[in-house]
Amino acid sequence: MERGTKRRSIRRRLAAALVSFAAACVGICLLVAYLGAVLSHGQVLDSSILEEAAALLERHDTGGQGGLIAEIERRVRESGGKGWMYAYWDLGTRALLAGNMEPPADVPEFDDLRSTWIGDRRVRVVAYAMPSGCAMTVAHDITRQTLFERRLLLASILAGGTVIALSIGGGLWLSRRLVDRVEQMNRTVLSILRGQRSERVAFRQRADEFDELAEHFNELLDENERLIAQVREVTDDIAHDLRTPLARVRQDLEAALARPRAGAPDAEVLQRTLDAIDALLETFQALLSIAQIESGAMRASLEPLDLLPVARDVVELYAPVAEQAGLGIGLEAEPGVIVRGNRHLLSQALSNLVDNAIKFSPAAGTIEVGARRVRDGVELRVADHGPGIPAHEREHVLQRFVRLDSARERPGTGLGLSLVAAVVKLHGARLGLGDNAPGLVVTIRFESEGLPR
Amino acid sequence: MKILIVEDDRAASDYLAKALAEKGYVVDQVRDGMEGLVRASKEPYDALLVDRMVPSLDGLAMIETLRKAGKDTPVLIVSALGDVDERVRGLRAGGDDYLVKPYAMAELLARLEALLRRHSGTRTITKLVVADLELDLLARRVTRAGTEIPLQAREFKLLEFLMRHAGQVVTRTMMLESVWDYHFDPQTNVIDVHISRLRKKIDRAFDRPLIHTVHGAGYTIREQT
Repeated sequence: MERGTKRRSIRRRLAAALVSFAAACVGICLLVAYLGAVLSHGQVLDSSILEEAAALLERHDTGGQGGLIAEIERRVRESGGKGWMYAYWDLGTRALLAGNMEPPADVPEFDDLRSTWIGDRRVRVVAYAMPSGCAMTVAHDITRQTLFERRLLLASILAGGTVIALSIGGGLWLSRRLVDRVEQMNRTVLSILRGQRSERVAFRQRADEFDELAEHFNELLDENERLIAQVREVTDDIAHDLRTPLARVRQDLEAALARPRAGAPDAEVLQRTLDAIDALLETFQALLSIAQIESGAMRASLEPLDLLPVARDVVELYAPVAEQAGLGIGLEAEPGVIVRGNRHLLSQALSNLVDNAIKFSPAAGTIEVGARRVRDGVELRVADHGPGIPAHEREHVLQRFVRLDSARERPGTGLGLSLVAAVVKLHGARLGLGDNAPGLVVTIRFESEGLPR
Repeated sequence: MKILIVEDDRAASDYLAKALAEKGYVVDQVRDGMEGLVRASKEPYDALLVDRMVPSLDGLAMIETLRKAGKDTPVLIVSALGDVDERVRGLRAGGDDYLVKPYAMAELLARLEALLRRHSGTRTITKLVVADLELDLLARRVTRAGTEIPLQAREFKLLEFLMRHAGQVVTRTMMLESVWDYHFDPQTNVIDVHISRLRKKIDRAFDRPLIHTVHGAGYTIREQT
């Protein structure tokens, strides 16, 4: 059964969930790595700078200006190449008293550790003002460190992007594999519903949950088919077995009617009995026909068939009947409406529908028969302006022997619509009973996929 | 006219034989396909009535063997298998007509008569005549007493069918099969309505009606004498 709303595939949702999850994981990992590498390194450097400065300040306290200058010069010699920079200069004249760097151009914020540019080098620097009117600066070159941070950031973005791209691909692939199995089962069920009863869900020999589901599903279908066959066999047997003695009785009655003898029941009684037996035989014939059609054995007889002549012939067959009943019957058909069909069965089904339409039409009513293209297929259609069928009865009337109260006093076997339903199913078409406001409109819709090109 | 019945159900066969004998046919009965094949090959029958499901050699195989041997005796297949594709199978095997059991005796008699007649006169005809009614197959026009009667295509076919079987009874089922190529029973008696329309055009303006109802069987077209 098709639903009116558009189906939302699980595939995209599954893939989206996988991608978001992967992205979140990668994001957290990179963040932790970045913070770990960059921040901890920075903190270690900062404390070394502060320690260095503290040692120099202590030297100034103990050895005065001369001691400090000597110490700075010693340190420049020892570690100047390792990125350490020192300056001791006069705040007033800006003359460098000791060190290996230019005094900062602008007077630094004292006691505050910060990053700045000196020339083309990036440095981490701290400055102190001395009571002598001089200032001391300790700095460490972080140009490389900055470069490293930049590269790390770039690498993180690249890595994150790659992971997200891979997870999109992987997610789609994984969800496709899962959804494909479900879709496959879905297609099998649909085709079984459309009459290909022998179809089964395919295995992949992996003994996974899907195979298990497929196996159970197939068992269920086998059981279902066995039950259907059993029921059909019983009905067929009953119809066959009852038909034979009825045929004998019919023969005898016919013979008795042909040769009236003294003492025999009068002709009128015999004729009535004969008519009753004919009605019974007709019912059995209809039951057997429906059983035969439902068995699907006639599916091989379906061939490309133009619906226009089918509809036209049935309309033409019934036109005089409609006219006699004071009804109008019209045909609205386009040429070249081709389906895969069996002309005899479709003619019989259509004739049952037109027959019903005539029976239930009010005086001077009109009946429209149509064969036309519709969206995604073609449609046979019979519409009347009779009492119609209430929405809640529409499934019910397709069952065998069901006759609505309004139909009880009219002739008929109660099998007409059952036969129509069986024929429609054999063709893989869809039967629709709708409201013609007022009246009934019956449609037989052939979907495009079943049509010959 | 000599008829062979191939039918294993004794009661059905006897009943059929009796009815045919009453109509003046000479009837032989056999119970199985092998015997039927032997009898039909040796003796000159005018028609065979063959049940499909008979022992030793089934009816269709029997007919096929006969046809291969060059025997063209008309065959009416009588069978409980009534679906369209079963009918097609029967006709393909070489049957000339196919009647589904259970049948009304009138139906069988009408079909048998049509079969015998069809077989005797096969030369091409261009004009059918019943009394003062003429149907020209080439010009596709119908006249009665010289006056042209306009007919719709299907009415023409129906009248042609009746006139080809002039003097014989044609049943409603025979007309549905031949004129409409329908092999099912419409629930309403549509054929009666078509005939009544045809009657209005053919008979109403004239003193002597040509289309007659045969009670319990069907219709016939003939000059009443």
